Parts: sequence; structure tokens; C-alpha cells
Amino acid sequence: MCNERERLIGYVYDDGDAAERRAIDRHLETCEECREEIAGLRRTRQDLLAWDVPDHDSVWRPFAPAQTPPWWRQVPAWAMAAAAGVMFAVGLAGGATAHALLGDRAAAMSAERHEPVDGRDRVVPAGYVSADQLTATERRILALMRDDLARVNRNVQIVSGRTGGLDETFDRALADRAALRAEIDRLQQQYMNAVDATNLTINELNDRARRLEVKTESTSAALSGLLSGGGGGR
Amino acid sequence: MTRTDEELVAHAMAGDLDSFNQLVARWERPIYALAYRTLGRDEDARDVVQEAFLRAYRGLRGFKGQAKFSSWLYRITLNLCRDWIRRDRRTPLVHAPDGVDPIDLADAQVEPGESVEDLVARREMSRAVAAAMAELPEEQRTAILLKEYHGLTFQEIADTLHCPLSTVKTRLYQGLSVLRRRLERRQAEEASLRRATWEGTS
Repeated sequence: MCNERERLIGYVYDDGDAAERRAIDRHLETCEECREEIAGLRRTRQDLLAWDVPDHDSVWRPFAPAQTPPWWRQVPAWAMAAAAGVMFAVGLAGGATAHALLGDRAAAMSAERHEPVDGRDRVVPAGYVSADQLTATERRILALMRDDLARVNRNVQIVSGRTGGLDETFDRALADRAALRAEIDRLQQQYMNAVDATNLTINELNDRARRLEVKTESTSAALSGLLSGGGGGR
Repeated sequence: MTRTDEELVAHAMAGDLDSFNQLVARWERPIYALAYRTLGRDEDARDVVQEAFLRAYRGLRGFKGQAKFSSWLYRITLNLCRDWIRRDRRTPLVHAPDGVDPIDLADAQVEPGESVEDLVARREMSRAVAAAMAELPEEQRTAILLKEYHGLTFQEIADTLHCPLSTVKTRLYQGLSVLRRRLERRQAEEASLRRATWEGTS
């Protein structure tokens, strides 16, 4: 066994079958050299425990699950480019329409004219646009925008296979706008009511002041009469 | 309930990334220790750890389960370390035991009941072991690393290194014997130095 010391390695690591261990035990009882060899190897194993490894933070950046991109990120670049082109065309058309709608008005606004204002025929000064005109113009622009959006929506649907949803967004924006306008109207009405109430109060105070003034005058006249009458009697 | 490596591997192969993250969390420390003790540089060891796990992930489909996942991972790591050393044409770097840096001491973990002298001795021994290991032939060093620091059985080492069981035992015995001689010589030199210092001051 002294000539085949590799057999001792299993013994040093407490590995190997029972028969092998018994054979080595018997050999060690009589072999000082092998006893010293095994003790030396065990001391070396003990020394190896001193070899530290530095602490370190994790170097691994954990894998993150793939994010599902929003539908519009899945639209191919060529489709996005086509949609952008359509939007540009819509912008041009909108500009041309606005110009056509407002161009004639601009000439008409340069001079004083007779126009219906709040349902009555009145002379309006140059540059003045009535509320009725604005409302009518707004309706026409909105109708044109709605037509254009419907067209863009169809194009987006063709290139992406999805509903663009632009008309719904437009309707929501209009609804929001209508709600905002209603709120403004309500506040304006509140303001007007407050102004009316204040005016009423002022008028009432003025009436009282006038009545007090009349009373004061009549009192003064009566007092003057008394004083002059009394003075004549004396 | 804690899932086994094999279960996590199966889930990772099915596309469950979190399972692979769990495998990394479980094995990063041992893989780093193996890489660090093989290469001797913290920075190199970190690079090898990252590359080892990336290779493992890419090669999951090639892992047939005939060996333990850890053995497969050790083999990837050792191959990377071997490439690393060959590419840089250098031997593992080990700092010479050139005295003790007080900053190191301040950062060092003192074991319960351990004096500062014990800590100094432990750190010097750590450096001495690292230096002695670095001088071993690669196959002996690897066998000792896997046995002493990773607790693999003789058969697992044989499977990992693709060599016969008897070869593993021979490498272990020869490596330990060389280490023993070097460490005992160092201890004898230190004892002699201490004696000379003591006699010079007395």
C-alpha cells in the first residue's frame, strides 16, 4: 500500500467501501509512514479552508419578461409612414377649407354692414363677427373634420388591421368641450344673477334714498312753515 | 416549496425566464468562487460568471439532464476559465503575501471569538494557499477546487472533467501532496523567522 498511495485519498476524504477502509486501517496500525502521510494530507485540507473568496454583488442582471408593445408599436414602419402622409394631407385640406370659409368673411368684415345679431337685424361695425356666424362656421368645420377623420380611420384600419379609434376620440373631445361650455354658461349665468341681484339692491337703495330725500325735503318745508308761522305770531 | 434545479431547468426551457433567474441566484456564488479561485482576479471572475450563465441559457436545449445541472455549469465555467487563461497567455494571478494591508483588515470579517492576530494569520494563510494552488498544474488544481470547495464526489468530478475515476484520485493525491510540501515549508520558514526575530529582540 505504501507504493500505491492514491488508494489513501479515498480514506482521507472518508470515501470508499467498508472493506477498503478496514484494509487501510489494518495497514496504518503497522505503517508509521502512511499514518504520517494521512495526517499531513488532512492538515493540508484544513489549511485549504483558509482560502477566502471576496464578497461581491451579483453580476447578473435578471432576465425580464418581454413586454407586449402597444398595438401602434406593432404597426409596420411603412404603415405608420402612410398614416403620417394621410394626416399631412388632412392638415392641408383643413387649412384650405378654413381659408375658403373665412376668406369671403374677411372681405366682408372690412366694412360696416347690416347683419342679424342675436336674431335681430343690426348694424355691425367693421371687424365684428356675430355669435351666430361663429356657431355656423364652427359647425361646418367640425363636419369637415369628422369626414376627414372617418377617412383617416379607414386608412389606418386598412394598413394596420385595427380600428384607428380616431372618430371615438374626436367625439369624446367634443363631448368634453360641450361639457366645458355648459359649465362656462352656468358660471356666466351665476355671474349675471349676482350682477342682477346687486343691481336690484342698488336700485332699491337708490329708491330709499330718493324717498328719504323727498321726506327730508317735506320735513324741511314743514319745519320752515312752522318756524315762519311761529315767528309771525310772536 | 423550493423547486429542484432540474424542475427550474425544465421551466426555463419552456420559456419561464424567472426560473432561470432563480437558477442564477442559487448558483452564482459557487460559480464565482470557482472562477475566482481558478483565475485569481475578481474582475475576470465576474466576467466569466456572466458569460457562463449566458452560455448556459443559450445552451439549455443542449442540456439533456444526464448530468446534474451544477456539474454542467461547472464544466462551462472551467472551459471559460481555460479559454480565458489561454487567451491572455498568463498563469492565474495571485497576490504575493507581501504583508497585511490595514484597510483589508478593516474590511475583513472577523469570525466570532477570533482575535486580530488570528485574523492576520488566517489572511496570510489564505494568500499562501492561493499562491500554492496557482502553481499547481491545471488538472490537479481543478480537481482540488471541485472536491474541496464544491463538495463534488469523485464520480461527479470524473463526469465533469471527462476522465476516469482513478485519474481523479491520482490528481487529487498528487495535488494535495505538492500543496502539503509547499505549505509546510512556508510554515517552517515563518517559524524560523519568528525565532530569529525573537532572539534578535531578546
